[in-house]
Amino acid sequence: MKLLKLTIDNFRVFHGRHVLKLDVTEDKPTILIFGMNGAGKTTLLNAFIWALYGKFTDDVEHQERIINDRVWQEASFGTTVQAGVRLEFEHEGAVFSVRREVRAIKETEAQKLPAPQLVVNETRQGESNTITNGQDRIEKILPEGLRRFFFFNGERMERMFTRDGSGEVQNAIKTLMGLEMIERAIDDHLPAATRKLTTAAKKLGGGRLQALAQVQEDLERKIAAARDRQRKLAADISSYQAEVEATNKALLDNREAAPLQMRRAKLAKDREQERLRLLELQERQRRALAERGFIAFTAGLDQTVIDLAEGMRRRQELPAGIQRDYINGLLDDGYCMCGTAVPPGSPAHAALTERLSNAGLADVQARWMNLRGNAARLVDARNALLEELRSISSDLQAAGAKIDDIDAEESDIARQLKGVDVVDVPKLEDRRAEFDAKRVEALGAHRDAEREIERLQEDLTRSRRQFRAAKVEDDEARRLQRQMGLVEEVLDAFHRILQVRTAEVRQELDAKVKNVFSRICIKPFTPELSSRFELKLHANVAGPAAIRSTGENQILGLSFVGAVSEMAKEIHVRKRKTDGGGLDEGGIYPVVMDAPFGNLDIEYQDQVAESVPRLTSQIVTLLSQSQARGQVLRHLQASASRMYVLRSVTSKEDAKEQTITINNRAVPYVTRGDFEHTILEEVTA
Amino acid sequence: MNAQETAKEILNSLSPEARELAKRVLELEREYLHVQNPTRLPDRIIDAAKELAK
Repeated sequence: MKLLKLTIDNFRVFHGRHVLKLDVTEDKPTILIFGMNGAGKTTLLNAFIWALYGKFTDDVEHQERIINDRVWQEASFGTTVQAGVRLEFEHEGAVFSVRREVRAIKETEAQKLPAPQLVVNETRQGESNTITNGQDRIEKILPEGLRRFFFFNGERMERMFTRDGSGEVQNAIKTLMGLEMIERAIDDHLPAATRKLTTAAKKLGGGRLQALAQVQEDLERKIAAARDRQRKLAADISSYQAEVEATNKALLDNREAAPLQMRRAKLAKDREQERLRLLELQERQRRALAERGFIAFTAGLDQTVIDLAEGMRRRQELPAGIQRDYINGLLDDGYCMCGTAVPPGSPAHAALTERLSNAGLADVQARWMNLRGNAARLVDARNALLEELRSISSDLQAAGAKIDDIDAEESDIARQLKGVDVVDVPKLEDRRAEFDAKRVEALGAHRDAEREIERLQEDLTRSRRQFRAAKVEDDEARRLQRQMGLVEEVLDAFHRILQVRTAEVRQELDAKVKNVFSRICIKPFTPELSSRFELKLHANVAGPAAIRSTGENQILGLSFVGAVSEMAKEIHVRKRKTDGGGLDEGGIYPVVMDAPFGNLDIEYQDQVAESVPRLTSQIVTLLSQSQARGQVLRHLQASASRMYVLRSVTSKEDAKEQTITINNRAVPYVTRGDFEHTILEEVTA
Repeated sequence: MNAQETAKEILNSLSPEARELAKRVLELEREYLHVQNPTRLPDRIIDAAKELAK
């Protein structure tokens, strides 16, 4: 697959038509496209993917807005608006034109677009044909399962190996390396041919061959039924396995989370207790202030009273304590306590009467003394109130601080528990056990089916041998015998070939990944492609799995891309040079990559820049000015057949116009214009 | 000895007619690779087998 040209019409950030010529020379396989953030590098990468597969990468936002926003806004309601991408490429001696476009009548402000239409044309030896099942053809040229290895964003390269799919990758590699056609022959077409020949044998009429054909037909039917059962069981096993793994994960999460959850429950209880205590303390404080708060305002007054009373007592300003009743008694008796008569009107009576009025002061004195005592108690009460309020305040502070601590700890626990689906652990255990039992049972049934198939296959092989060896008089029957024998001979050979070729592809790919990886990575990590085509990275040869950084994932991804491209190319060259018995397939594939240096540091960038041109025979690289400096840019430019700039046009009046230096020349990079858009411009030498 | 030679050896170990049929089957598979269920392919294999085993 050799890319020739990409034509973009009103596609997302691109207004109008833009053409990207993609032809390169053998010694300069790179096409460099520079663009600042938001200029459309990712859109350009996605233009390739959308044209070929009708899809976008996950990082593209608002995927429904395929038509350029400006074009859509400017269109009147009721008019037809369209956007499209055409990719022209060469493959196996034919030129393909893949055009995907979307055409819609504008009826709403938002883009509501119908399904895009795909037209694939193939021109071979001057004759052009439209391919009815264009998507199938594209799929056979470059399987979608491999698109993430050939059209990718360097910053997201680590996702190459984290998605589902070693099965998808394995199938895609098989397609690319020519193993798929052997598989199809084994699984479908040779057995179908055998079945048809068996049916023909049955029609020959009477005799040994007919009986054997009938036996074979029955055996084939039983094998097909057992295979069907096996397929269903395999699907069941996968779904049970997935369920067990999901439950295991939930259990693990919950087990790890269990102490945290218990702690959280305890904290909630403690906080409630503290909250109640806080309320109680606040109530006590309120009550103390309401009932005795006034005491606080008596400070000084009580001491004054005490001092006053004490002073008066000391100065004997307080009268002696003669009671009024006693004087009244003397006046009533008419005699003083000394025996002197005190008749009314006498001076003695007058003196006693005066005493009587003075006797009231004795109450005053008593009250003064009482007041003094009370004033002394008031001081004690105020001190007690102060002490109590101090104690309540201290308790309030402690309770508040404890609640704050609980909140903080709970917040930390909530953070740790984020993402954990909190469920009942015993229920989870039951669920895990249930699905594991189902899985084990299905595995057993699958093995039984496998044994049954093996037994039936043996019977079938025996019956076929008998069929071939059967002595027949009839010429037609003899011919049929030979034809079936031929088909079966080929089927058996293909089984063995598929086995050795799959192992060969894995082994070669593994060696190449190791080679490319060691060229770039400075650490002693060793990649390994497993028998299931899963890419793993070991800390050293046969060591434990390496803890990979994002950058190392990126190098691993690039190594895999390079290895697949290189191997496909080698097989393709071998096919052209030698007769591999029609087994070789392969091909030459381009790589289109956005931000190839994603997360790499300078040293790795330099290594990658040096390795990139060697990845395959055509590499389209999209990068920003900051990603291509110094040595890195020199490496890339030296291998570039063509260079483009995605010139950002901005309507922002105070935007600073910028240039980018390419080939010692300042090329416009950001310019001002009427509206926001991007222009794709080739930089000529 | 690499796996490619082994695959080739497997092909070489076939009878000349079977080797030819294997080649034709691969050609047919390549021709129909982009079609998910090629109805005519088994018939064309049978035609090739009939031609080779007259």
